[in-house]
Amino acid sequence: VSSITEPRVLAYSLPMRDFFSGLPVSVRRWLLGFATFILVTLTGLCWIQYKQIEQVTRGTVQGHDNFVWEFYELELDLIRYQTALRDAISHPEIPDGLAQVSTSYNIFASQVLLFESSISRDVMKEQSTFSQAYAEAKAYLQKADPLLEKTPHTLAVSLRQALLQESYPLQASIHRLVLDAHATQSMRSSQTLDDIRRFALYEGITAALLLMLTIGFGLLAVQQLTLAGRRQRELESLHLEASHRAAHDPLTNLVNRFEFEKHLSRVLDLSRSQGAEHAVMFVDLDRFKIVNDTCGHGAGDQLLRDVVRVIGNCVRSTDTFGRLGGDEFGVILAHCGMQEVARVAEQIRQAVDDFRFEHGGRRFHIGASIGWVQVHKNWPSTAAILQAADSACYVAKHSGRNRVHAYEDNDSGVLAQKEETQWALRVEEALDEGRFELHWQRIVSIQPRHARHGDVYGEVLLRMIDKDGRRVSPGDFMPVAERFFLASRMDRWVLRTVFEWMVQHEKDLLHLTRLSVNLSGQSVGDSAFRADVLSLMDRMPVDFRKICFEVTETSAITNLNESVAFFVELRARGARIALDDFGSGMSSFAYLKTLPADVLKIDGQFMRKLLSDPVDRVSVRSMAQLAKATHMETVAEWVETQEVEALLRELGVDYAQGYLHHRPESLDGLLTLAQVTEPACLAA
Amino acid sequence: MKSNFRAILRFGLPLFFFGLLSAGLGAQVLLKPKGPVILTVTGHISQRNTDDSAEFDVDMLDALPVSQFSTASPWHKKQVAFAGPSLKTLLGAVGARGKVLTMIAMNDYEIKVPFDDAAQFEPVLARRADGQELTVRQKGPLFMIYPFDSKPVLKGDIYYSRSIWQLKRIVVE
Repeated sequence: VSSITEPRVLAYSLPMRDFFSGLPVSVRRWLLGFATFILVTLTGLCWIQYKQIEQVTRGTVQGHDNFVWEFYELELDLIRYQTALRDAISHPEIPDGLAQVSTSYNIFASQVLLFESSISRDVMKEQSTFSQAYAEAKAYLQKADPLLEKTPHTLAVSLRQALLQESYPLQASIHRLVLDAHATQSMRSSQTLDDIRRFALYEGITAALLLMLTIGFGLLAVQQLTLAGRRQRELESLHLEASHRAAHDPLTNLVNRFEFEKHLSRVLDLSRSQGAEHAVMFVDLDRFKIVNDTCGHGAGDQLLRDVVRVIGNCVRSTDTFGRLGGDEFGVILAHCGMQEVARVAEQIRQAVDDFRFEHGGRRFHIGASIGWVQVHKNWPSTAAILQAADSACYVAKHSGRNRVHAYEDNDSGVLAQKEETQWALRVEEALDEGRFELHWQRIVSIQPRHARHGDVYGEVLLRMIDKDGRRVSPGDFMPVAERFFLASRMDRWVLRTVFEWMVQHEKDLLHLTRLSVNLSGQSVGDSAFRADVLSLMDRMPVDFRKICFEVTETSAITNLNESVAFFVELRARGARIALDDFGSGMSSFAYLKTLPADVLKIDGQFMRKLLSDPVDRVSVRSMAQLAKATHMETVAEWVETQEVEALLRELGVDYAQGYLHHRPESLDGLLTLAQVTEPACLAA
Repeated sequence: MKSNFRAILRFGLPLFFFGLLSAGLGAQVLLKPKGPVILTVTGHISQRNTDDSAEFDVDMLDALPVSQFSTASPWHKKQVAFAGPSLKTLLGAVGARGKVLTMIAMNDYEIKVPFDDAAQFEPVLARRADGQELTVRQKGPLFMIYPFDSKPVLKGDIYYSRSIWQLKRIVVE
């Protein structure tokens, strides 16, 4: 049994002990002291109460017997009897005399006998004179009873005198008894007075103890209240801090998106109830990413703080100024007319435009694209207002940045943006449902020294199949895909499909020398994508020497360091790199030294007027020469005539791609081409 | 007051007849006492047999209806059966109306008793204890006693002190 109960006892006693020992020493000492104080005080109270009860009991008992009066009455009865006796002696002729004597004697006797039953032993002991007087009285009754208990017919005068004589010592004894009882009573009275005094003292002590207890508890209560008050204040400040933190952006100390929306909903309610004019403004920073990427996040954060100060100078203190995203800010202008809003927006745009951010000796010019929308009671929700403001901001950004756009119902800019959103939805749907098709276009060698029979070089092209079955070319959906961050998904799909297709048709692709696949700038800038592609390549049994990745020069330069590392990795797996649309951007040739590329694809724009425009000719020639100097091959796009091709050959371009040789067709066409081994270009 | 018990005994039996007669004649008529008077009632009473009082001798008292009960008391060690006219009966016989009764004993001890005690507790003016006529020695000839054992409230100093013995006079106020 003990083995069962013991652990339980331990389990119960431990938390209490832990609680006590867990307290600070000073608090423990204080608690012990207070407990002792309470214990002592309560014990004192109990003792005092006990004493009081004792006192009250004794007082009640003493008040109960009143013997002085009874002894006095006894003496009176004796004196009456003596008087009657004396009358009977001096006037024996009165007929009723003896009857009177007998009656008064009997009254006295009955009084004596009364003590027999009513006087307690305690009184007998206490009153020493009583027992003596009582004995004398009994003795007298014994002598007188035969003569006087019943009214005698006659009684000799001598007997009467003897009775009278003997009654005197008895009367003396009884008188002494009265005096003694009286003295005892006075003594008792003084005792009672003492008792009352003591009683009062006990009452006083009780009151004092109670007062001490009350003060003790009062102090405890005050201390607890103080403690509780301090905790309350601490909690309040904690709460304030927490709610401030929950509602504010830690970097700029502006309200965050959540709080901003709460304010907006309050403003919308105001509009509905009072019909007042309010506005919401979205401010999107231009070129913030450049600072963040080139100077680091620390500089980016500093820039944000600086810009917040610049914008903060333009808005009123009553306006709600919040940070909604990375470089996106919102302002709620309550009770603000349209003209005033437009003025503030322009002021902000100007201020940000004038602002220069300096870092590491460089100065950066930041711009702001601002969209704003009026808040009126017809808006169905805050979400709709926010979307409208966002749309307006988007329009401002895409119509050239550093400008203000006000949202209006049926806004053409916003409508265009809506259309784009529709496009994005279509692309996303197509991605989800796999409604894409791969085509290809052949790239042919135009320099005789390269030409080898049966060699096939081409570029994979992507076509989207719309819901109604129409093919959509990349020019229509790629910009949208890039803008809505769908390009990487598309690239993944393309790569996986191409690789699988190559594995599947390995034997039919012996004639294939090189197949180009496009990578969007977004994909190249996405580290997750880069890692995925490399791991995909490591998994797939594809001869990657036949694969060439086409990347636009702009996207390669935007993420230069990452791109270079990525290209090195790709080349390590046998793949080649082509710089697409070369010459269309503003990049300098110097980059070509750092970029590990194999092929330069000259932008199709140069082919348009190649025959007539000497500048284009010079450009193409210099690009071809540059490529040669850096051991790169050149491909000319959009080649549509024999004349252009002839000129390109003369300018030193290695390959041509365009309708002249091949109209894009389904990728599977590449397989059937194996049978037709003769390339068309050699005929030329 | 003068009382002669021998006279009471001597005249008791012949007077018994008159007592019966007076009871038969009805409570309205109060006879004159024949023997020594042992109780005098004065004050607000309607029945008198002197100018200003109603006087009773032993026979007149014994002629009244007798109440009886047994009770212990501070003056007796055992239960005693007390018998005699109840206070209510006596007050009825004299047509008493009032609030307070002043009761006076043979040694001039006096005590005030509320009139209502008569109806509420029905104390008895005991003439006999355990069948024995009470002598002066035994707190007779009239000993007013409450039925202490019948109600707890009666067992206290108030009613012990109202139990007057050797009663000789009642003043109705």
